[in-house]
Amino acid sequence: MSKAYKKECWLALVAFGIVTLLTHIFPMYFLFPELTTFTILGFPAHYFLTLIIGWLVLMPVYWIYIQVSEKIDDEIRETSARAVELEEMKAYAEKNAAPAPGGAE
Amino acid sequence: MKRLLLALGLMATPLAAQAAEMGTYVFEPDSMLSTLGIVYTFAMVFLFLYVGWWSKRRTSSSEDYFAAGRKVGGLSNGLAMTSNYMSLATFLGFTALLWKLQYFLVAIVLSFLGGFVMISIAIAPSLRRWGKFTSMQFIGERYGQTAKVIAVMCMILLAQLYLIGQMKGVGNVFQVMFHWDYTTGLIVGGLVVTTYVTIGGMYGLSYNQTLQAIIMGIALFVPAAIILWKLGAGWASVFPPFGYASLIPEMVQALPSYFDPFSTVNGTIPLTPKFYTAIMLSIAFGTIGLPHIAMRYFTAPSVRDAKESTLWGILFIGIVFFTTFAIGFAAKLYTINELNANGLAIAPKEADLLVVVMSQAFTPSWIAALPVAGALAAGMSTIGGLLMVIGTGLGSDIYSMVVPNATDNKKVKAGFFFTAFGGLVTIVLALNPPDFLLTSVIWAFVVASSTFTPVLILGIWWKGANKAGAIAGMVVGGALSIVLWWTKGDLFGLQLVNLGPLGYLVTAIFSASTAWFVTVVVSMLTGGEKDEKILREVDRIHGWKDYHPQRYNGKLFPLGVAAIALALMVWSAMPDPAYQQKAEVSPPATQVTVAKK
Repeated sequence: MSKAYKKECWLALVAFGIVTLLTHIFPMYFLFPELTTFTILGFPAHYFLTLIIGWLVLMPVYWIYIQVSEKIDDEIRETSARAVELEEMKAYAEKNAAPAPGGAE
Repeated sequence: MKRLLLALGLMATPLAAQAAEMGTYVFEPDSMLSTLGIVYTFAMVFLFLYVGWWSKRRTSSSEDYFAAGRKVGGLSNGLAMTSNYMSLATFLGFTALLWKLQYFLVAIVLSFLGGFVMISIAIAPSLRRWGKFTSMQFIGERYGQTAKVIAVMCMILLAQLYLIGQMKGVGNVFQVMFHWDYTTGLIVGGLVVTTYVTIGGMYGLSYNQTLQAIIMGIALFVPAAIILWKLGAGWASVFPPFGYASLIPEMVQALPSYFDPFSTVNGTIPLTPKFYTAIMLSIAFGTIGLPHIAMRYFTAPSVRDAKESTLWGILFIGIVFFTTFAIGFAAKLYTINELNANGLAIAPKEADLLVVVMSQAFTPSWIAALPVAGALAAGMSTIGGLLMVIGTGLGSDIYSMVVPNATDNKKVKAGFFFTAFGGLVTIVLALNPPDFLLTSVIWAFVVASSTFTPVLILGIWWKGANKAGAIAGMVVGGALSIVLWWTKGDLFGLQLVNLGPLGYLVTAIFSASTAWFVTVVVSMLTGGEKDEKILREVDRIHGWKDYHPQRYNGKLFPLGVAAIALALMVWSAMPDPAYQQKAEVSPPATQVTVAKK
C-alpha cells in the first residue's frame, strides 16, 4: 500500500479527533475541576478556554489541515498517475510481446 | 447601571406598569421600531427577489440550477455556509436558550461548530470529487436505488422538522413586530423565500445567502456593541464576542450558576460526561449528515476552494454564535437586575425576542430595527437551503430515477416544480404547527446523525459497506431516532437513554450508535461490497486514478467503529447516579424545556 494512502487515512483520523477534542473539551472540567475556579482576562477560565479553543484555536489548526491535506492530495495524484502510466506501459509491452495472430505458424 | 435604568425607564415605564399587574413582562415594539422594521424588511425582500430574478438569467443547465455551475468561490461560499447554518433558531433562539440553559448552550454551540468542520474532513472532499448535487445521490450510486429512496424520505422528514420551525418563526416575527396576523406573515414570508429560491435556483440561493450572512452579522454585531457599551462594559464592547468581561462579577453575584459547567437551568439539572458525549453524537455528528449543509460543498469550483470556504465559515459562524452569547449574557443580567427585581418574569415567548427587546431598550430605533431584518434574513437563508435540498432531492434524484432519459431542461423544470411544491407544503404545515417546534430543530440533527452520517462516512472510508448494511442502518437508526424522542428514551419498558429530564434532546447517543453498529455488522454478515465498479468509485473519490482492492478495505476501522458503537449503546442505557439522585428535586421535563411553548 502506498505511503500517500496511509498518510491520507491517518490525517483524516487525527484531524477528525483533534477537531472533536477542540470543540468538545467539556469532560476536561470533570477531570480538572480546578480549571473552573479562576479567571482569564476577566472570564471564568473554563468558559474562556472553551470559546478560545473551540473557535480561535480551531482556525489555525484547520488551516494547517488544509495545507497538509493538499500536499497529500498532490502525492495521491502523482502516485496514481505513475501507477496508471506503469499499467499502460505493462499493457503496451504485453501487447507487443504477444505473438501476432497467425504469426506463430 | 444608572444608564441601564434610564434606558429602561424611557422604554418600559408604561409597559412595566401594565405588566406588573400581570406579573409577566410584555414586550411591545414602539411605532418607530415597527415602521423602520417594515422598511428594512421590504427593502431586504425586494433585494432577495431581485437577486433571484437576476440569477435566473445565469441558469442554463441542471448543473447551474442545482450546483450554481460549481463557481462559488471560497469567501462567498463561506458566507453562504454561515447563513445556511445560522437559522432563526440561532439568531433569536440562542439568546432565549442561553437565558434559560446558560452554560449548557455553550456545549451545544461548539458541537455545532465542530460538526461543521468535521464535514469538511470526513465527507466533503470526497463528495466534491464525486461531482453530483446531493448526499442522497451519493447514497443511491454507492448503495443502490432502494437506499436512495430511503435517504430521500429521511431527508424530507428532517427538512420538514427543520423547516416548519423556521417558517413559524418568520410568521411570529411578522406578527409580533408588525402586528400582522400570523397567517398573513407566514404566507408573505414563506412565499417570498419560495419564489426567490425557485426562480434563482442554487445561483440565486448562493448570492442571497452571502447577502444574508452580511445582514445577519451587522444586525447582531452593531446592536450588541452598543448594548454592552451602555451597560458599562467599556472599550471591550467594540468586539462583543469577548466584550463583557467587566460585567461578569455582577453576573456571578446575581446568578452564581450562570457559568457552571456541571449543571444547567439555574443549577437544577446536572450535566455529566455522558451528557456531553451525547451532545457530540447528536449535534456534531448530526451536522455531518445534514444534506443542506453538505450541499454547499457541491457548489465549490475545487476541493481546495471547498476547504477554504470552511475556514471562512468557522470565522463567521464563530462571530455570530459568540455575539449571540454576548446579547444573551446582557439579557440575562437585564432580566435579573431589572425585571426580576421589579417583580416581572419573562415568559418563554418573550425570551425568544430578547435580542429585539435589548436593542429597543439600549439603541436608537434605526439600529434597533436591524435585528428584525437580521432575524428574517436568518430564517429565510435556512429555509432557502432546505427548500433547495428538497427540490434537488425530488427534482433531480427521484425524478431521474422515475424518468431515466429525462433531458437536462426537464430536470431543471422538475427542480423548479419540486422546490416550489416543497415551499408551499411547508407553508401549509406551518399554518397550524405542533408545539414542539424549536426542539424539532435539534430533533432534525438527531435524525441526521442516526441516518445519513453513518452511511456517508462508511461509504466513503470503507469499501466493505454495502447496500444491505446501509438500508438496515438507516431504517433502524431512523426508526429509533423517532421513537426514542417521543418516548424520552424508553423502548418497550427499557430506558435506553439514561440522561435525566433533558436526555430526550440527545438520544442519538443510542440511536446513532445503533445505526453505526447495524451498518457495519449487516455489511459484514452479507459479505461486503462486491461490485467492482462501486469499489473503483471509492478509490476515485479519494483522488486515485488507479484502482487497488486493498485500499479502504481493512477490518480495523469497521470493527473499531462497531465496538465503540456497542460500548456507547451499553453506556447510554446504564443508569446514571447523577440523575437518579436529582430525580426527586428536578422539575419535570415539561417545565424545563424552554423550547416548548
